Amino acid sequence: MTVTYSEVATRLRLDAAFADARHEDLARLLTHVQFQKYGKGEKVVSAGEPAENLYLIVSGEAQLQGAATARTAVNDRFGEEAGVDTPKYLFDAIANSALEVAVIPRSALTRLYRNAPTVKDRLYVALLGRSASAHTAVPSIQTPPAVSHIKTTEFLGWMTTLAIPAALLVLGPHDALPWSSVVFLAILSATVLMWAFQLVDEFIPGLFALFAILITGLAPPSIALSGFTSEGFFIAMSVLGLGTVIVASGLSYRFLLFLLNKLPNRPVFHDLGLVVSGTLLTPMVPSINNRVTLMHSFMTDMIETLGHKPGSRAATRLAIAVFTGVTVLSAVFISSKSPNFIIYGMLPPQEQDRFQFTYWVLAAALAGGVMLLAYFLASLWVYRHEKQAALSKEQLAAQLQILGPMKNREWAALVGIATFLFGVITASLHHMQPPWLGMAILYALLLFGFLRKDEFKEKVEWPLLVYLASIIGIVATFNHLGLDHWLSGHFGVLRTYLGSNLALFILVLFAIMFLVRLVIPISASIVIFATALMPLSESTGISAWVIGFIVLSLGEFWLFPYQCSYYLHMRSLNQGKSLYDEGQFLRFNVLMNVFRVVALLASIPYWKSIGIL
Amino acid sequence: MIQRLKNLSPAFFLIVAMALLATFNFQKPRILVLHSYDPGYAWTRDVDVGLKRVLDKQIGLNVRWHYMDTKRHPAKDFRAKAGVIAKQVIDSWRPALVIAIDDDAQSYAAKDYANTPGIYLVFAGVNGEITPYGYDTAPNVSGIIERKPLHALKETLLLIAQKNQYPERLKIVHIGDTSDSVMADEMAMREFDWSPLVRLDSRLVEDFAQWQQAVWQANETADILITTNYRKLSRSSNDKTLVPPEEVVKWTEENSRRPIIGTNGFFVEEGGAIAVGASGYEQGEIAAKLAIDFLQGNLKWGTKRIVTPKQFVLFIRSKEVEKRSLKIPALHEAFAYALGNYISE
Repeated sequence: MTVTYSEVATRLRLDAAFADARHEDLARLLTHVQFQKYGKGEKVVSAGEPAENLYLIVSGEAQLQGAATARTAVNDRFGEEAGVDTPKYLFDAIANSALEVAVIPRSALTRLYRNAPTVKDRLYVALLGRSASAHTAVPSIQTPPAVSHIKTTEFLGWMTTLAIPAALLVLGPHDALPWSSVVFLAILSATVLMWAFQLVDEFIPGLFALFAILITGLAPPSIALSGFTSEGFFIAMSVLGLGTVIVASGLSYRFLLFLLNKLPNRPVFHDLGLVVSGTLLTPMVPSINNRVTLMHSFMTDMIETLGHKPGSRAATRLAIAVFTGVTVLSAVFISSKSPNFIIYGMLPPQEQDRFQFTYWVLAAALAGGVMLLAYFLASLWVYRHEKQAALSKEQLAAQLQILGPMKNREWAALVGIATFLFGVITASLHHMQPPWLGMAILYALLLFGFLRKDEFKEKVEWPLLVYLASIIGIVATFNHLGLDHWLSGHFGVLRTYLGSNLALFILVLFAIMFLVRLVIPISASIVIFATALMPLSESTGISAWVIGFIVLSLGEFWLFPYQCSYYLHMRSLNQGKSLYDEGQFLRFNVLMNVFRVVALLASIPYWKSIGIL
Repeated sequence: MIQRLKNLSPAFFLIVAMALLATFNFQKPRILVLHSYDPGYAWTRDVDVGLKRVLDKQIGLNVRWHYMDTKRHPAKDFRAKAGVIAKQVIDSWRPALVIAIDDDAQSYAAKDYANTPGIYLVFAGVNGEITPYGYDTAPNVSGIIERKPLHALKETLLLIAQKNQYPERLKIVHIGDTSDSVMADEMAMREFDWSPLVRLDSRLVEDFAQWQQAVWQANETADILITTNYRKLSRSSNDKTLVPPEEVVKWTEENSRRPIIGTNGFFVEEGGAIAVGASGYEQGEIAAKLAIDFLQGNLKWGTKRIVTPKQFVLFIRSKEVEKRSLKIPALHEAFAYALGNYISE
């Protein structure tokens, strides 16, 4: 008899230790399970050897020597040491008959605990039950206390953050600007430097700028805090709430499984499944880091399931597909990342009315389409000699079996998405603006308990909202002090190109942003360039959205890992393992950067044809 | 059964609440304020103040503002594109009423909706005739025309002449650019009875060099210069870049030996000494009142109401006035001060 994924799926769902785990997480766990058979009398594990795996007995019996519970049977388990912080097995486990077990590695369990910490507690209790009777002490791993040390670069960063604003206050452009503007530039420079040196979390410098503006009275609260009442803030809050339900309900995971189960079982379609899933997550999960986290776990599952060697070309191909899926259209959907909301907040009111959800997508559609097409062509060409590998359809079916039928929460997420999209498309009929429509959906999710209070408190990214609101407030203060006109007066060449030759403007801006991005992070670069360049819209007559979109697209340019926070996040999820060939990944990324510029250039005639230019 | 009904009560509440909100929102009358120029332009700002004085008092209106920005971008293709975008906004938002302000808004967008069922038009800031837009015969149009307050300007000139002991037959000359609104103003000035003042032939020019020549010539021929607008002056016949208005005013104040009087408030905001202009506040207020009258049923489809302006406003920059040792009647100073149009820096 051979153990099937389906049997293991049933076994997992019946095991009391896993009762609190979400079905989505159990389905994910299934991809790490291996099957092993032992003959009667054969030793499975030995006391004292490293505890790497938990064993679920599917058929047969095993004897645990030295434990009070001398026998285990069908539907029991052993090796719980691998599920808790115990480095070595405490007991010998010997097959008492022909034994078939499902083997779950410690690393997979550790991942499961992120969403289901009680599983670990239950395994610990089970282990204690055995060891208490056997008078065996359960050793635990002591975690060393965290010690925070300021690195040299951070120290330099803080010193620069002190020195530059001070220098500005003393030596600033006092002849060209009033004192209040110089003070604001000093505050702004401190804020930007905190971002540039990544001294603290991204939202904290924004808060600094806000209270500094308010204390010095450079702008009234109605301007400095305008971000907290802006439409962008409420769109972001609503989408974050809806995104939380989509992810927490397991709908996104179910969709990915469904897609891979239905698509033809060939590498190109595996890529397609990952890219399409990432793309569909893009407008609904407004944080690239969160999307990377979601898709990364699936990527690691697929690499193992498909039997790709870590670091191989095939594994790299999957990593590129995942990364492309979650990032490539991030400028195309307004709700896909915080800088988009910032650009939206900086648009003149009538452009805000115009570039709501659907029109933003329409205006950016060609750029997005070119990027996607270029990715697929490049991927097909680069990996044209790749050998075929197939996913286990049986495993996918078992994973879907664990998820069971669609749950109420998933339906709620699906209805939420559908209502939002339908509402946005039909806005000309009911005249409800997307931010308020989003709030109505958020209210409904909270009202029916699909989004719980604790999730609203913990899973909605409030720091991201504070960051967004503070940037809008900083830019509003900048404009309030008339610095937008002063600054745009210093961009003579760019203004000339913007007004006369947009393609040249894109290329020149690309060169400038390329250099700036070597030292300044993505969000800060986008904010700086958008603040400086979007006011040029007035004097050149070019739509402020076009300028903002170009800045958004070029701001995402990166060559080296340190330049891209979400790539670093993806790398951190690899936990030090070489899941894919980073050199190859980065070379492909260079190609994608080139495509980004091509996509912008290709959009110029399109924008002209739809009346934006 | 009762428990199931109880369980459904939040859903019932949500459905009823959303239906009521949607109905309320759907029934709110939608007004599109369509400006020819940009919100930073002094005239547009004044019109907006007037509009808001009336509209802000109304509850349950859905008002949206759109600025075509053609003053800063006077090229014909830009104006045509701005018109296309404005029409896209009207077609997609489908307002019950459009308040279209100044001539470009009429000629590039609003006039296409004259005689269109379901949309009522209120115009303001139209310098010339309304016939070219078809508003004279359309059943869905009312508005307020804009005329330079020439009577007020003449009275002010006479008082200044008296106060400064200028010759009785004061010679005035109008200089401006060649924009449509200046052309319309020029026609009105030509038809106006200026006596006992003497109106010399106007100089409407295309570039800054021509402007400078016109000013130098006026130094020899006129006693006072009147300027309507100068925003569409290109740098030269070869360089079509527009000269910033502040630069034009600064140069003119520095090089004209004669006092210059503007016919718009922005002339003083941009560095000029004195201006007597049409009231943007009045244009905005009247347009908004006409809109409310239509929405409340006091102005019927097919009934036309064309209002002629009665008000004017005065702007003074004391520093420039003092430079020329120009004496201004005390009442005029007090009037400008009361309106907040007296710049004393």
